Amino acid sequence: MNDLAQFVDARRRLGFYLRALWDDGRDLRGFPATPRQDRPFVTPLGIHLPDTVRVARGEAGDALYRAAVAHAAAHLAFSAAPQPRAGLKPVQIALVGLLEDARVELLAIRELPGLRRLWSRFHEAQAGGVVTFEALAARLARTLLDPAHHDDDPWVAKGRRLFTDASVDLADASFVRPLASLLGNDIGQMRLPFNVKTYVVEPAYRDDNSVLWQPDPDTPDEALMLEEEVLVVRPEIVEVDGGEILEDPGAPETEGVKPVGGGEPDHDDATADAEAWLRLFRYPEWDHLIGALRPQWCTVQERRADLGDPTRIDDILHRHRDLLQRIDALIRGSELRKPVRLRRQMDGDHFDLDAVVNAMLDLRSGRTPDPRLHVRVDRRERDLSVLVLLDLSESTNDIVRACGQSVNALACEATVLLSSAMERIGDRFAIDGFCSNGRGEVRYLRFKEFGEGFDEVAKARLAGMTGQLSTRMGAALRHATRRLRAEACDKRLILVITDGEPSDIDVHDPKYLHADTRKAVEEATRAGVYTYCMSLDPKADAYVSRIFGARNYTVMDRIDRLPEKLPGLYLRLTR
Amino acid sequence: MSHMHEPARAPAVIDQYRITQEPYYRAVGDEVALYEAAYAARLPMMLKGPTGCGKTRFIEYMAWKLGRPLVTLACNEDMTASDLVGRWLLDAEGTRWQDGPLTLAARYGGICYLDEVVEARQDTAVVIHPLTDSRRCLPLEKKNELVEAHPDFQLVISYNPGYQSILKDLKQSTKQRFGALDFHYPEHDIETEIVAHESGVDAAVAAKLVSIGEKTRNLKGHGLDEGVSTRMLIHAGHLIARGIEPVAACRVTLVRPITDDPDMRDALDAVVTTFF
Repeated sequence: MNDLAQFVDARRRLGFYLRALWDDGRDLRGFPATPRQDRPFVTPLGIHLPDTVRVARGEAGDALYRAAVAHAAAHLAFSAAPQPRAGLKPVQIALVGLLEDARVELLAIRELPGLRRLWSRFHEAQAGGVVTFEALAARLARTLLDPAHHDDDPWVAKGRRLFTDASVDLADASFVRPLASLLGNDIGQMRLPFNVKTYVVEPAYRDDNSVLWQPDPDTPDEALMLEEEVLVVRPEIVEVDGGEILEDPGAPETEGVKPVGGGEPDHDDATADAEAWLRLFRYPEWDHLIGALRPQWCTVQERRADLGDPTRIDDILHRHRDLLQRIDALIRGSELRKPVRLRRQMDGDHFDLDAVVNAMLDLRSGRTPDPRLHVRVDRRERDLSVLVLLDLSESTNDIVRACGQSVNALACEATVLLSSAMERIGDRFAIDGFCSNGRGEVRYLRFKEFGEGFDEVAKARLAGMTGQLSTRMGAALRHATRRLRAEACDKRLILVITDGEPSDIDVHDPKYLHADTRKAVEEATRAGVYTYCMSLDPKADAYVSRIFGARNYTVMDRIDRLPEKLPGLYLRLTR
Repeated sequence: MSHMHEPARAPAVIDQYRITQEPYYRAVGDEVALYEAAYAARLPMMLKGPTGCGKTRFIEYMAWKLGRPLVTLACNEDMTASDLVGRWLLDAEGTRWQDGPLTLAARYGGICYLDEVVEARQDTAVVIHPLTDSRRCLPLEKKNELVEAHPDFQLVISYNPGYQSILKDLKQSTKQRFGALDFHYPEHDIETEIVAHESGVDAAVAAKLVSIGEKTRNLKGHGLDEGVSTRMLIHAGHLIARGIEPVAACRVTLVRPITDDPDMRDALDAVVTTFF
């Protein structure tokens, strides 16, 4: 009897497993399994696993996936760079794969002995039975992995003898090809047919070994076109004339930017949609190549956000009322209240005069005094202003498959829950968002102001949130820093929620905006503003710690859990 | 107005803080020599590093080696300045001054070790300032006394920079008074030696435990706040040495304490079975 195991159920566990054992943060992706293609495969995008697998009843579905991940990781750790197939017959290619599988598994077992048990349970080929190439290959595979298994077929025995020969150094793959040729010739002499169309690697946890070979120029690389976890629903790529202005500071501004008089922020009322804009600001940008700030390089267009339907926000609050109650309990539990004078304490900074007098009276009259004589001031002041800065770029429209909502909608939901938590604590907060269209048009939307309550207007603005354009984070951070500095308070925090790295249409060197954003973070820190980044990009580790600092970021491994995680993170951050 | 006032009680009070048995400490680098030089110069020291990597054991060992009493105080966020310097207490005769641990060490000459000092409120941390610069004194405001630090006195703090809370960090003005030693989990062979010595398991089992620990540390920041510490590995070794089956011992001492997340738990259980 068989059961089906689902990849989506196991994915997170497998990610931890891969990261723990191999320190490998590679993406794990599901693909729709078909009878023709149900073996895992490895591409530069990550390790691809079938989205369902059959497992024996009572067997944990994870085991097969885990075996597949471990096997793929062993290839990535121990297999050489892809080789050309030239000069090899199909049967030899299949045998190179088989021997290479055994080689990398044995190398991995040297380091992680428990893997032998994990893999062995899937090798079920028995000695005897009909002699076909497929059967012999499966028997050889089992014999190579499991030293206790006995198989007296001459071809299998020969393969094992040559493979385990003392002169063979497993760490050096060069013996695999000659040995495969030799065994392949034997198959030819035994007149066993080999059908390349129907041959599949056995057992099922082993990948198709395409990772070993250079791609065939004739066949398109199907793997790279496979659907991934986040469905891309981008309608079109936004192209703007004159995007290449980075090279030439004197070039005309990007289309769509209205001329600004003077460098200082000033009101621009000469433009057509002036009422939509609050103000224009110019900010410098750091160019890591010249090691200097380019003055007045980016134009931030500040505007109030468009209004949407506030009932959407109330819906969110209603839908998450259980969660809100939990957050409420969390807030109560974390004692974030105002300072209190605690009288009659066992210890404290001062004596409680009344209690001391009473105690002396008690002593003199021969009674036992109450030892609670102190006053303690519990100072739990929170003089904190928080600016939540949302990335509103085009990519936030992508649908997260796990919950069917867009990244943008999830970020909005999370912000709503966070806002209600902050309101409950009494922290002053503002909600802003940004997107960009070249350096001349960094749009900065204000959803909620510091002084305002989280009322219908703020809710309506949040409900109108949409994603478009790109992510020029540095300029937005500089503007957010400026906004926050105007707040009179003790601690200031910018909480950036983003789904990707900084990028923009007029920048082709990814390091450029990384460096600029890091600079903006440094400037903020110098100005007494903390920055913290909540990244929804599972590959963010590569850059986000360099931008925000080792302690100042979190990478969300499941975007769909952002709404429940964000308020908790906030409480922990500001505890 | 000086430490001359209470000479009679002095030795007894401070002597209970002397370390008589040599604590086991396996040096991993030049930290012992560096610390000895720092102590000779009475330079205040900061021990940085993740939890359970041997900071406290190191300071115990150094106090033993230098023959100085060690006054340890674990800091917490409810700690007030009084908890450090002392307070007035009542007894039958009236009020009586009780030295706090910091005052004790400063008055009678000892190493005062403030564990996880970030946990203390920032205003608490500043009372150590006069002791950590050329003044080397501790004003007891409430007692109207200025305690001059004993020549043997040294202040040591521990500090785990991995804390997530942005509102909790040492002030620059505090940090810059200290020399700092960085502690990490020791490398494989040394950690194996430590786990084997401390828990009593043989080297092969200890090496497997250490490998498990190293694998979990890959997950720091990817679902775990911290990886499995040396201390936890020693706990696992203790159970194994008492005859508990290794997989169960690891489950109890390594996996269950470190995470509540069921997915993470399963992944870590799988890591354990990769070695046992």
